Amino acid sequence: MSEQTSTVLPKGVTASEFNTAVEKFRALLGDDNVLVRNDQLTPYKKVMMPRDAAENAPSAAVTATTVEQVQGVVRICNEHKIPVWTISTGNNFGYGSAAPVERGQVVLDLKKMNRIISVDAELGTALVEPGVTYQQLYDYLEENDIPLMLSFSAPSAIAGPLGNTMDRGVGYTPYGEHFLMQCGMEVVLANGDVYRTGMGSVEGDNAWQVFKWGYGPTLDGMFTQANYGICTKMGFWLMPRPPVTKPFEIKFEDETDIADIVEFIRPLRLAQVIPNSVVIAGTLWEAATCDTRRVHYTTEPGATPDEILKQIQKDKDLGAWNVYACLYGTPEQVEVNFNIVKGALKQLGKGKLVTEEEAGGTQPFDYRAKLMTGVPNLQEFGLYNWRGGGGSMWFAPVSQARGSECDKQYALAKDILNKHGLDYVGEFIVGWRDMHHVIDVLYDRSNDEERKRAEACFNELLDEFEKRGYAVYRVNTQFQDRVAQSYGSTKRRLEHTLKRALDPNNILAPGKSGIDLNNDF
Amino acid sequence: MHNINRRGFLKGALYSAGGLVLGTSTLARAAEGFAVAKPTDVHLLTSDAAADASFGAGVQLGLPIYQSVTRHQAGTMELLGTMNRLLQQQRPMRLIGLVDDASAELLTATARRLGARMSWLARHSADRHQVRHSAIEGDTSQFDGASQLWAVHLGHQLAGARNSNSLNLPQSLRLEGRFVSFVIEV
Repeated sequence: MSEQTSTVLPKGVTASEFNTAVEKFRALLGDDNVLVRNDQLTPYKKVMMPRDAAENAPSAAVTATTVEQVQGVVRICNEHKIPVWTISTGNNFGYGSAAPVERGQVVLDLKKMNRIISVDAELGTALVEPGVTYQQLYDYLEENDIPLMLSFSAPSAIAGPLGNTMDRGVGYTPYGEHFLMQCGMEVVLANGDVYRTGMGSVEGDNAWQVFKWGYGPTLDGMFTQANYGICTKMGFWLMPRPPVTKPFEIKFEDETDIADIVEFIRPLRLAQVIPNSVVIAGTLWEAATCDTRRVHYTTEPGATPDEILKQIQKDKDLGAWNVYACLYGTPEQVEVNFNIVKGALKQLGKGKLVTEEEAGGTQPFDYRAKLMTGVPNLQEFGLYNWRGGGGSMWFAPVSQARGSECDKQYALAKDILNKHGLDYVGEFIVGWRDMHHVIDVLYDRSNDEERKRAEACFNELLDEFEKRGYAVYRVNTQFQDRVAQSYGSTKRRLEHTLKRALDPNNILAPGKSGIDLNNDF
Repeated sequence: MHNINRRGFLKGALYSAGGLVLGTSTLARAAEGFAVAKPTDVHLLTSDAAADASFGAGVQLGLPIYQSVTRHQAGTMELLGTMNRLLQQQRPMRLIGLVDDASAELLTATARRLGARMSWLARHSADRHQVRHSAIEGDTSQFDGASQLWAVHLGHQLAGARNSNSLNLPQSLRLEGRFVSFVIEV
């Protein structure tokens, strides 16, 4: 069976039409870059969402190596009304992975477009193609002794800056708000035009990677989390590597401490005493990333009882909340700021400060320190072994950086998760004035009953948070249309107006973020 | 852990009349072409000792008599390094695995990145009360309601066993936990 050709077709496309398109793909890209056999497509089908994997099965996957080939793919898709789902490294775990949003879409995999086009060591800028991974860029900086530092999400080694930024992902350094640090995009539009944002369209310009705005409307943002074009190059800023980095942790004993923690952190973050995207991680998140499995403590189904969570906290020497932050600069700057942090902590009157020297290379401190100082690693994949079974959905509501807000969100999320027999495995990432509350809804995908429970849980999380004025900033492909509804019909109508103007054949990732001309708008 | 095992002893110990019966299955299609082909490198990847013992026993029993297998039992990062190294050798080989979920995510991503063919991918969940299977590529229906010795059966057939065999399997080969099985060919 695995040797067979996929029988999946794009929605509304006949087998004959599809086969003609596939032949054109082969002529354009070569046989090796057009995948239609089941055993070639298997890795594109693995999803972590609760619905059946068949609902996200691609009809084919094609790989391009040049912008001209991307233009060619778009032309063929227009000719045959083939919907195409673009991925860069395809490692958007828990948000849809490499699978398309709708069954039958052709995956355009840009993994082979992996050139680091330029890195400017003096200006701290880079320009890369979609397939470049953080590890590749890290190695390049190391090999060429370039004193710049990367910011990345947790699957750092295998994910890439272009894809993460296009999905508005975040990292853990002072440059952790990745879209804020983006500077210049090249985008292939649905009509085949190649559009460059910012200064990129000016003949002979060399400021594309240093000045974001250019002239007239600034359109970069509309291409992120969207389906108006295929990004083939992206520029972004890199932080100069400071002489000293000082990662540290503060452990707090009680889950009720969350409000006080946020009130303690916010002024330090706003004043840039602590300049990085601070993390406030719950017990289970930290335990799971250092190979603690639920089965080590209980085999009973349902939510893990609080007494077990306390036992894990004790066994693994964790806090109920574990705050990770880092200071950067000269020795003098770091010393001054560390004294300010210690003073504020003394005033707070709780929390145990742990330095890198005291942690002594142990996990989870070690991987957290690496994330905050730009060293890629994959430690966080341990989350998937906490409960096991391959189910993972990121529920990521945003809020103001206020203690009362975080307290409210934490209590609500834990109640809903526990009601559905699942655990709160979450962290808060402190932006400048916001909190990304990131919860990994982990469940056993091989258990149909648990899959249904997880799906119901996720729907209830969305519904109940929305009733209180909260919405998520990013979501897996199964729930993208649902989340688009949270943001209201005016926004959706505008998005569909843009889609009709830019992609009248609806070929670019229809369904992405709920934008699809087949919707009733 | 990395060693080459020949299966003579295991085969003698486990095959016997009156044991459990393995039928020819659609699952064995994942191994199609392999059993009749000339010998090729076979690598067994597992993420813990229990999986290596039970699944590995099945794989060794299912392979042709002349076929050796290289076993890799390791944590996630080491398995990832092993797979990267193997797939980049660009010579025909077959990777058969039963690993935890973290490893499975990373190994599947690696297979996609390197363009390897994945003829089998399925999830398995086993505890004292029941065993569940769900396939992403392949057909696990024959394992519904299977015994705690499911991992041996699975390994046996993923290795290419095509005919009914009687196995006298020791209960020590029972396997509980949550796993992902795969077959990758290059």
